[in-house]
Amino acid sequence: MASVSEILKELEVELGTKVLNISRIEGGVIVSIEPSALPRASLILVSKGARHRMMVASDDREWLGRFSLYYIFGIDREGQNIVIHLPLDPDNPVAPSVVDIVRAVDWYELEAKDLMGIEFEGRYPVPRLIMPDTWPEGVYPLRKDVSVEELRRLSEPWISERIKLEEVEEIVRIPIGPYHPALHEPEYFELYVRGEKVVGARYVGFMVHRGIEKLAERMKYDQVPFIAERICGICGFVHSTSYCQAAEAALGIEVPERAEFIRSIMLEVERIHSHLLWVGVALHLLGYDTGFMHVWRIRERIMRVAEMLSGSRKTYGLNVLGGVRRDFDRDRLEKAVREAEEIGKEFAELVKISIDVPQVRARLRGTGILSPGEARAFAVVGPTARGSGIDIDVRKDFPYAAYKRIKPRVPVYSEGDNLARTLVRVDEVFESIELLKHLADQIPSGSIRAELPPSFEPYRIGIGAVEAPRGEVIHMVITGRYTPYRWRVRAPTYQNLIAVPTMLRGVELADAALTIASIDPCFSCTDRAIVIDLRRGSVERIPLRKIVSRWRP
Amino acid sequence: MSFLKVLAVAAKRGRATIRYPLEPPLVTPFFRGKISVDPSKCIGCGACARICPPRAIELVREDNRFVLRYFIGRCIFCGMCADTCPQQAIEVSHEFELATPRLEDLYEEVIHRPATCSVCGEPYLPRKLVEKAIESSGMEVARERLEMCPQCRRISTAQVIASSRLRFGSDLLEAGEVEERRS
Amino acid sequence: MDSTPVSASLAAALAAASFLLPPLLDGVERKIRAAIHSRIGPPLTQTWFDILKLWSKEAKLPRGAELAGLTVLIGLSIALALAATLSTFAAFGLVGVGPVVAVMVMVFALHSISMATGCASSNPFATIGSFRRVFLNVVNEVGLALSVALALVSRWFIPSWKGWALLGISTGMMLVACFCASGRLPYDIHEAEPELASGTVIELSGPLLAAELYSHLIERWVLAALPFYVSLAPFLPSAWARCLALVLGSSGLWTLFAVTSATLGRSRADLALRSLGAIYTASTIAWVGVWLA
Ligand code: SF4
Ligand code: SF4
Repeated sequence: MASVSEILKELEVELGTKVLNISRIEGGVIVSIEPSALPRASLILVSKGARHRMMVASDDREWLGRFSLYYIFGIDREGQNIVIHLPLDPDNPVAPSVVDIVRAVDWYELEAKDLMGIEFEGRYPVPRLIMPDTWPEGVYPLRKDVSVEELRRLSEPWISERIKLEEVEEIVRIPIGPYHPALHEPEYFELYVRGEKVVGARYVGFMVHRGIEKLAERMKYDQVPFIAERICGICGFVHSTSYCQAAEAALGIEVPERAEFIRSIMLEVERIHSHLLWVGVALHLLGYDTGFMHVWRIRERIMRVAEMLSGSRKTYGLNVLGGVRRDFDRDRLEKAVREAEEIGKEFAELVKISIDVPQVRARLRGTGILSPGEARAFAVVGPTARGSGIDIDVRKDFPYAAYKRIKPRVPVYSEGDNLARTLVRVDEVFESIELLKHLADQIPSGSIRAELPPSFEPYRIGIGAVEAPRGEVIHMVITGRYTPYRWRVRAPTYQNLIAVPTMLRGVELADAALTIASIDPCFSCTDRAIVIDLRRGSVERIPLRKIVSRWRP
Repeated sequence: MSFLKVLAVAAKRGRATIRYPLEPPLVTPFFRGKISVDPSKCIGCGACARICPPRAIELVREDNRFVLRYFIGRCIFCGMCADTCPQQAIEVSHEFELATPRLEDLYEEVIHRPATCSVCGEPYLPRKLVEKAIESSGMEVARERLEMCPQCRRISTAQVIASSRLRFGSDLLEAGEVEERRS
Repeated sequence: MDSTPVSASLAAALAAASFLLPPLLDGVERKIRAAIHSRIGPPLTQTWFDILKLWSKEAKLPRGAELAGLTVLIGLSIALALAATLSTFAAFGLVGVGPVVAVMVMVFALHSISMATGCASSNPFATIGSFRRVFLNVVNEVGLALSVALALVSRWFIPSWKGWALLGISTGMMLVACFCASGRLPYDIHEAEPELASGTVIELSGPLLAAELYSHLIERWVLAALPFYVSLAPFLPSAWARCLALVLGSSGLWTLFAVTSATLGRSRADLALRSLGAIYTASTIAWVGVWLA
């Protein structure tokens, strides 16, 4: 992997006058280039080992007179970002597609097209990713000239049409599946099976795109952490932390160390909780409900620790811009650590028992394989990457909060199967408990919230990333005077999900559920799958009520 | 065969579930639940309504009164309102058993008598807030201006400036208004 | 020998027990599972409540699976007849080759008809579930039949040590076959929740589901009683002893099965075939080995 300065030099030499501007931001550099130079630039970055972390489309007409695309590449070894910024024509925003060079950019391009109306040249035509098929052409929700009210009106245009068609006065609208809210998650898999073997799979998602990024453009800086925390019911704190870090980086706010430690403590509590939950669900999918119940019994204890520390079992609500809202006293911290140690002991015993159950062992080992090469190509993150031998972890590569002082040990397994991903998570539970001990031990005294500047400087860019239980969460904030100008959220599942069809190829139908669950997907409610039996040509719809496990609201 | 040890684990741990609601729920003393607003302390300043992330608290004018309305159905139990209230009028309780068949039960209101403008007679702010503002300005003389609605005050200010008389306290008042407008 | 009236009333009592007890034993099983899960679990009578509640609901034939209505009812009649027959045979001491074969024929008939229920449905989950069941039965019915046959043969060698040893091996094999046939974890792959929702029974509801559930529980009772009927009853002198052995044995074995299945996970069609195949082959070889010794 080349260093940031080497890559920058190469970019300047290779692209010459096509490099428009280079500026520093907290944790990296922004390189503005001409759109036509993007393929060359991404080729250089990828060949130098940079990892594509996120791409953000922003309507910057207000301050740059252009649309912008920001491609964030991480140089993991240095913990630095190289952000390629593409200013696009305000009337006809077109950018070259680089999906052939950076496989992981696929969804980001589709999303930028759907939500911001950016065209990508050189892609074969593709269906919409996020917006429904009934959505009118030419309305791009994230553009600044589209109001929330207008979007609300547009999202239900068909109902009045329908009423006219049916010639009735009133229609009671009962939406039922495939995107039914009572089902666990409104996502959709098509599995192609031959007998019991899965030979292919296709994924359709974004049924519950909630538009919170747009919503936040109307909220105060201090209100956003609360909506950010509700992006996910299981790992919400990572989102509020990421958001705060991004906004703090953009505004140059120094968070007091004690607050950073408190954030890290809650992040580790959250990781323990999430992994316990996942292990339980995985065991349930393997039919081992006894293990499931016991793991969740233990999980209850960590939820109580969370409640004792933060006041809430799951949605902690501690983060505010510049720090945290609640302080922990010594007493409670010690109690939390003691409890965590107990949890570790109980969990260790249970893991040993569960892995020894013949069916569990047989169905975890060798199923759902993702090779290291594929994992790298999809730029997967978190336990999915670490189960395929890729040694990345934001806590180690881009240290934030208290991880600047306390380094975690990062477990890595190279088999790439369901067992490897399971063991990564199991090891991480123990590591998190260790970390908790150190954090509680070394927490400095002092204030828990920084003084905020009297006014917020607009149009500054900040990136915040956190290692969530499922992998890297990354947020980007462009500041506005009173509210964030643009806020982009990227959850780990966004990055991991495109690898699932590859993992599904060749597994038994019985193990498909576990394989999908093995990336610990975070859909915002359940899924449905279609199973197409190639031999008989029949189509089955599986209400993935139970298939995809982690139905995280 | 060590998976059979799970029987020993089960025997050792016993029963983990409880017969809720026959047995008391498991909440720690640190739990954040429903909030309650103390009507005697609340002055109707609306700071809680402005900070509340999901807008579970609103301060609205209804006919001839100001109502601070708390809708439990929207509340996320974050406690930001309690942190923000300048009067410490909000208390966070442990209550979470809030399900009810009647929607009305989910609303709680603090009703404020309005201050009516001394010029045009329009209700413009909760009475208590105006009193508090006068009290904290420390100048009973400010009363005359604070008893006016923002509209009349502006006109009056303009007249004052126009007649280049002494202007006292108006900077402060104007600043307050701008702040209000913003949020 | 007991007098006919005594045997007859014992037969009737045993039959009544085999109609009433299975749902209660299922209640016990759920309690046991709950205890192993560290849960409170439902009351013992819950399964009876479930059946009665489902029975009281509107009868609805699943669309595209009208035949299932018929197969479920046939299944229920076979199950009731099977339980009554087993009780009568046990009470009257009819434990020879002829009666045992008759019972086994009914057991296989019951299995076939419940497979037919799944196949009758056009629901793809039911179809996949039925395929899995057929897969499993190909191995397991052979194992069950073989173990019963070996047990019958073993009985000729008794009271020599060889006879007891042979009977022991074949009964062990029979226990495994009965456990698997009872459709408990890890062999409930035909109705695996995660990928098949409830598989073979997905289209059933109301009284049909109640009937299917009830006949399945009676089937479990018979399967738990079978080893005692084949391998123990012939050596008991009185109708009382035989009936008691069946009730206690069946209940006890049911409990053991419950504990066993609660400690295991769900198998997969290919894994199940492999492990059952291995167990039956090994036991048969062991049996032949002892026989030749
Ligand atoms: S607790 Fe939070 S959500 Fe509830 S009223 Fe107060 S600020 Fe609003
Ligand atoms: S912040 Fe306090 S005083 Fe102001 S309206 Fe809310 S409860 Fe009343």
